[in-house]
Amino acid sequence: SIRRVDGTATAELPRVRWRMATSWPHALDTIYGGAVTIADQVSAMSGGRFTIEPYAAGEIVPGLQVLDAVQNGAVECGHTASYYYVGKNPALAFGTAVPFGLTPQQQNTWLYEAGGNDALNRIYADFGVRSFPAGNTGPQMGGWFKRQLDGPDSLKGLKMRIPGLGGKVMADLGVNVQVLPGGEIYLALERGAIDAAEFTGPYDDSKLGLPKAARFYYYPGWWEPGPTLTALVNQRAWAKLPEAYQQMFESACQSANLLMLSRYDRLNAKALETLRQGTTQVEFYGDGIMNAARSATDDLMADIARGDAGFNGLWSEWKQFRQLARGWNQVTELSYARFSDGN
Amino acid sequence: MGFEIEAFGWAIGFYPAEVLAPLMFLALIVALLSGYPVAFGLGGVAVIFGVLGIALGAIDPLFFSALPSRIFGIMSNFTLLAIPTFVFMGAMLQTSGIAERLLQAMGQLLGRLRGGLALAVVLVGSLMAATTGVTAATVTTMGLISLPAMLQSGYNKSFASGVIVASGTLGQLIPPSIVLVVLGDQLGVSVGDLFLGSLIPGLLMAGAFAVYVLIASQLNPTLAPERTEAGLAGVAPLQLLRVLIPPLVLILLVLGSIFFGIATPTEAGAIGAVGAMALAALEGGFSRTNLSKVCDETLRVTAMVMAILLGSTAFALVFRSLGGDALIRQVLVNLPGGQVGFLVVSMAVIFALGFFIDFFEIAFIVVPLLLPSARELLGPENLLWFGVLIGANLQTSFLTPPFGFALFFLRGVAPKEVSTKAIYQGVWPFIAVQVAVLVLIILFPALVNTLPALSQTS
Amino acid sequence: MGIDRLNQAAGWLGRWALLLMIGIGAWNVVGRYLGLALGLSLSSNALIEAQWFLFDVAFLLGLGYALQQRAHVRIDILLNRQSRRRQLQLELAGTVILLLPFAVMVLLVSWQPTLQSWLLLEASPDPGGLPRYLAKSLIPLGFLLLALQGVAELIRLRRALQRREEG
Ligand code: NA
Ligand code: NA
Repeated sequence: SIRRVDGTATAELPRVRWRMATSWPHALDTIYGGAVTIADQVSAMSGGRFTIEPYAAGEIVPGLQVLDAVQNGAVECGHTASYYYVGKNPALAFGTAVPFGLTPQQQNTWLYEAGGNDALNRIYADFGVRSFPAGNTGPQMGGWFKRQLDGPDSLKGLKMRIPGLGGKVMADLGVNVQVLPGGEIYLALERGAIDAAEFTGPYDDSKLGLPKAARFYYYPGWWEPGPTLTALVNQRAWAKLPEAYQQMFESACQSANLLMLSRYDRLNAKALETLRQGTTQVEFYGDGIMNAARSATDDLMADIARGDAGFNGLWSEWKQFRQLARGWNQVTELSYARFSDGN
Repeated sequence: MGFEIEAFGWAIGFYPAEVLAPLMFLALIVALLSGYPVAFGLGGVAVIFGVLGIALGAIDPLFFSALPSRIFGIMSNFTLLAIPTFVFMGAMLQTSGIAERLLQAMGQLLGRLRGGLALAVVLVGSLMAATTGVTAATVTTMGLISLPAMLQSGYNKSFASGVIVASGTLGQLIPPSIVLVVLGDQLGVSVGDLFLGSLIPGLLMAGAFAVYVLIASQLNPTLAPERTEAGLAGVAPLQLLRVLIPPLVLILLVLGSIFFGIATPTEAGAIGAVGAMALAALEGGFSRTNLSKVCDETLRVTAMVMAILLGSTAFALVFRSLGGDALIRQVLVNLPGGQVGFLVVSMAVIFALGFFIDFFEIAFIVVPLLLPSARELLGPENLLWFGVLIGANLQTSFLTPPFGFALFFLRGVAPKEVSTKAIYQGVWPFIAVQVAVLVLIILFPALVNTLPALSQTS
Repeated sequence: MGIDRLNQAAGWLGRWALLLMIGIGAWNVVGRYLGLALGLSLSSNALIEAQWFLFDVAFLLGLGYALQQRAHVRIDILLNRQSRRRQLQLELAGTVILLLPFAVMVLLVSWQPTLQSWLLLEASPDPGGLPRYLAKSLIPLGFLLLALQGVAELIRLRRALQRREEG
């Protein structure tokens, strides 16, 4: 094949082609879009000399195996969620979200400015990998229920699809937690094999058809108040990258982080409005469930911390940050939002 | 992948991969026709071409390290668990003699109808299709239960094989279906809408099979015997019911529990397996020897099916790394303009690819390439219809020789006396029926769009 | 042969794993509804994951056993027309060119991630899940059994071919 080459400022830099394995299907266009943003920007900034090709989940490796693929060098980089790998190290949960954790902006502050990402990178170094915040879904919803909830007791015995730490908390509240892949949620919920399911937010959930399978849509998604998505890079590949390209990659990840959050906030707001006009009944979990979930979360985190020194260390630092961030948020955004949006 | 030489502001690329990817298919054909197990043909050719690609600098040696991750993905795929449970149920019903008596009784009831047993297979196939979307489970289970009975009743081997394989693939179109879930992912169409939209086409497909089976056995008496000459001839109706009801109740219980959400397909399969054991015990066909035989059969079939998936994941990985997807992209780059041209060419390409690669890879490689044109030419509101069209088309890919996975699965459980050639021959009429139904769906989009539209308004 | 006995033992294990898997699957349904009635939690993610694990044990450890029992599906259209000697030669070639490279390649690329998983004592990311390092170990183990059975077949085929040449 023959094509024209643009020979300007970057001409002395080498051609680099990377493959990026992602945890997302094409259909989750907003979240997959994070990978596309990185690829597009890196290519534009380098005049087409540094290119990254993103691959959907399953194309190279399954969605939950992206860290393994980056670690072993099967791909140079990946786009995924850190908490998929809590089985390898429980502290990786903080890279995405933990129950009753941080809002999107607090998450960014922690990662970029309060040493959060450096702490995560110390963990990722054991895997020969480097991590970059590279997207945020914004606050998520609390899931779809076939029946209306009425306090913590109404959760007991419910069959719910909810993975991760949120699932562990739900299990502690007496929920029969099931872990199903995304594609199976709709059918299981529609037929009643499960009573409830959480996925992400109004925009993605609607695409999955969940509003047709269950009527009650609960908020907030207290287990994922502002989950960050992560770009992972193999350290050997990173070391070989010219410094200019390293900077391009890092900037592109920051771009993706901002753009995905903004895009999700726009799409979700609109999708929720549409749902409200349809058959969906949007409901608050209620103080009873929220309080029970929070105290179960505290117990669970303390429990994990007892068994894992690394988790304990990071959790302590993170808690200090959360304390500080909440104090600031209360007098600024929260007080303002209460006044201006609340009535 | 390949290298480029830059001169005078132009880059000239050489891609040995462009040659290796098509060669891979040729090598696979040779490997499979050599008669060596399909699974290792796929895996072996993948390794040979992977090493060749590395030697020619076309691929990075590290890319092979994606293989364990892909294998682990198969290991943790919950839907595949339906395979051993359903196979166990089928093998238990077969070994204990219940299946044979059941099908004979059904043949007896439908006896006046030429091809009655084949009709029963289409019926049971549709029921299984509406509950599990796992072709491997359906084809192997039905192969175990019904093929011996049909052969005993004097059915033509090709005809019997064709009915089973074709009915087994109905699960791809009749919801729930894995194909549709993957397509929903790729097209960005709601899986719920896809399921609703494919219901009428799926039932139409099943109906078309039923009609074909009846007409063919009327026109060609050698395909299906006039009446089943089995041991139950002349049995009193009451006796007949006693034979019919227990296994039918079991099968309906299993399928019903999935349909009404009492259990997932895997769990229902397990319940069915336990139920089959209980039934065998009641009917006196249960023994330690039988249990051991059934477990062994289940293990062999499961290992056989899974080995094919393992081999094909290796094949797909290497094919992709050699730029096979880019190759297909080139074919699709110059699609003709206009709705008709686009539809004809895209359907033809998917159909042709179905001869060689499995639906999963087709969905992954082809659909993203077709999506922009489909959106532009057909309009975003027609993506649902387009998705069902692709689904119906991909169903055929399970059936087309030489690489139809459904064919492999039946071959794996069919008795020796049924030759591979007979299976290959038996499947062609059903492929023709499928193509006819596909054309119908193209001509009448309302077949797809009516139900989802109804659900919007309600 | 020792290898044959080894894979027969693996097959025995696989059969029991499947039976146990079916039992657990049935229990998960019964336990869910019984638990709901009794107000107890009788089914769990651990039991759901146990189904996976037993399924993986069965099909991966069954790879070599299935080879020994000639259970792997073949397209025998052309094969049936060959002479017995020719069939043996084709089988020998297939084992050397296709089976062994595939099995060895998977072994080569899977032992390291398995070791990594063991060093971390990798757990399941899901609530109440089972250890992942055990599941991951099944990949090299299964393909080792397959490769060994391939070697056993190779020895058998060579002997059969030699006998034909002598006799
Ligand atoms: Na979520
Ligand atoms: Na189906």
